[in-house]
Amino acid sequence: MSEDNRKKCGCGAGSDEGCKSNQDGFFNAPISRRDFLKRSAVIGSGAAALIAAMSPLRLLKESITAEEFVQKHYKEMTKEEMDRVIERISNKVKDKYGVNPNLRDVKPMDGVEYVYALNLSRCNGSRRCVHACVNENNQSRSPEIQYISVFKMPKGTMDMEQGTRHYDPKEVPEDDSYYLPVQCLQCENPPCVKACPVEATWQEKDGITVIDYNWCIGCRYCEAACPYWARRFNFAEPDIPKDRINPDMGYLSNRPRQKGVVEKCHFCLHRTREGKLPACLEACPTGARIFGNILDPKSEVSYVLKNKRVFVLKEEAGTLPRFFYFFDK
Amino acid sequence: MRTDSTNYMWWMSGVFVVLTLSFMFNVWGDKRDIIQHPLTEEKHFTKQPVREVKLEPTLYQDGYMYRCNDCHKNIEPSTVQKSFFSAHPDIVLEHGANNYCLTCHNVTNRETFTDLNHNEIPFTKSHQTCLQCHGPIYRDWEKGVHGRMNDFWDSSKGEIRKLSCVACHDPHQPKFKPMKPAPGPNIQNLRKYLQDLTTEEHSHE
Repeated sequence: MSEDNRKKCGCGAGSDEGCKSNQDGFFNAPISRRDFLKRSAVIGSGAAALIAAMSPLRLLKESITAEEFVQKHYKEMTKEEMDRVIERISNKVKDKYGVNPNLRDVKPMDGVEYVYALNLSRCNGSRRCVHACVNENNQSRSPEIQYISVFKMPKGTMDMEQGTRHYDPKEVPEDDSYYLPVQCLQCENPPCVKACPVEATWQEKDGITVIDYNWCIGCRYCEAACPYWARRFNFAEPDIPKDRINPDMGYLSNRPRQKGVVEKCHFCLHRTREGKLPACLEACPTGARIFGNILDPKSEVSYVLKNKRVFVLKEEAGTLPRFFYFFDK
Repeated sequence: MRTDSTNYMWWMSGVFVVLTLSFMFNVWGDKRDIIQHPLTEEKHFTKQPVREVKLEPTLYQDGYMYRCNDCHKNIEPSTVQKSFFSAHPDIVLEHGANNYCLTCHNVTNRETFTDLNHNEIPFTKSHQTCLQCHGPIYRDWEKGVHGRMNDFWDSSKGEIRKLSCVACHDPHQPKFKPMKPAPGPNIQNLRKYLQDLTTEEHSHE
């Protein structure tokens, strides 16, 4: 064997014999019984380890179908495709929860931009809105997902860090506190939308920021980008009791979500885009919540914005929320 | 020479076997069970107002139903403040400076309310009595920014349903009653895994 050949096969220091066997290749080489056993052991155990590591994929079969996997983005779907998707999701809901859902894709209304106003002088921290929301929007009960956080705040400060969500006195309101419910503020300049790498969340023309739960990859960037801690992540498969499922569903709002996607308040768009008031407002025992169309000068929210002293949370963040707070007294 | 260079294969297959077993028995995975939280009672998200509105000027007592005028046509109206006969032992008047029954109740027909000129106001339109003193609040209520609203924000789709004053305020003690808050966020997970933090947060309990 010449010097050149030795360099080519990369075993300059080795014997002629060793070099030859490498040239013959791994599989073609004459192989001893001992080597065969060693290689089989490595390949066999390696394959077993791979299969064991991949075994959670078996569960995917239950949660995702091929049709679902190739589903297009919400904005790219045609009417027929959307109808098929809605039929598929309806069947899935029926199988899982035993109710026939009224699932539909509710489009925004023309000439409508939603604004919410909340009267902090009236809010008594009774958390009725939180549970009305959970009940309306098919949120997971265990692990618990709630869109609205009611903060108990000491009087005389707007510093959110001094508030707590964990209060449980015998009766509310307590004299030394006021209560600040926070949910998605439907910003006009939403940081969450900018953070999403796959455009699974966007702002609709009526001002509601929505999520395509089938497009979300669960990276949680939006959750980190939101200055108001308004987004929630499904760490586990959502658990909704069959008797608590709300069959009135919208594609972009309260249809059951799956594990690994982000969700948030959407101003009950399956209700509000059909003219109804959001569920949190209807449940508020003190009437602190006011909802309506800001483009209508005669609406309740227009009256609030013209006549009350309103403010928004974290104005300095530049998010331009559509959710206004005001004090009445 | 070859024997030396392929000895690592035994090691590797050993490592793979260990990996297989550890994946199968979920050695490193998240083994936490999902804690089942108790379901919220339905009273915590009801759309019912806090009070029941009385639609008829009646009094149910000792198994009999009375109308106001059954008794009051025979009884001289009291001129004394807060003078209650045993017929109304449950009424406690705590309405600020207004401490006289006949400020609101009509003196001649007790089944109606009165305005400041002693005109009758029908029993079901009690808000017309309230508005005589509570002007700014009434204006807000009319615009739809005070009190509970239900059903539709869009008047082209349906009516907005305003609740009357007495659906939330007891006219005799109009201050909105304190209530038991609905359960807060469940923190059993936190309590289990971050014992120190939760004991600090719940030290006030």
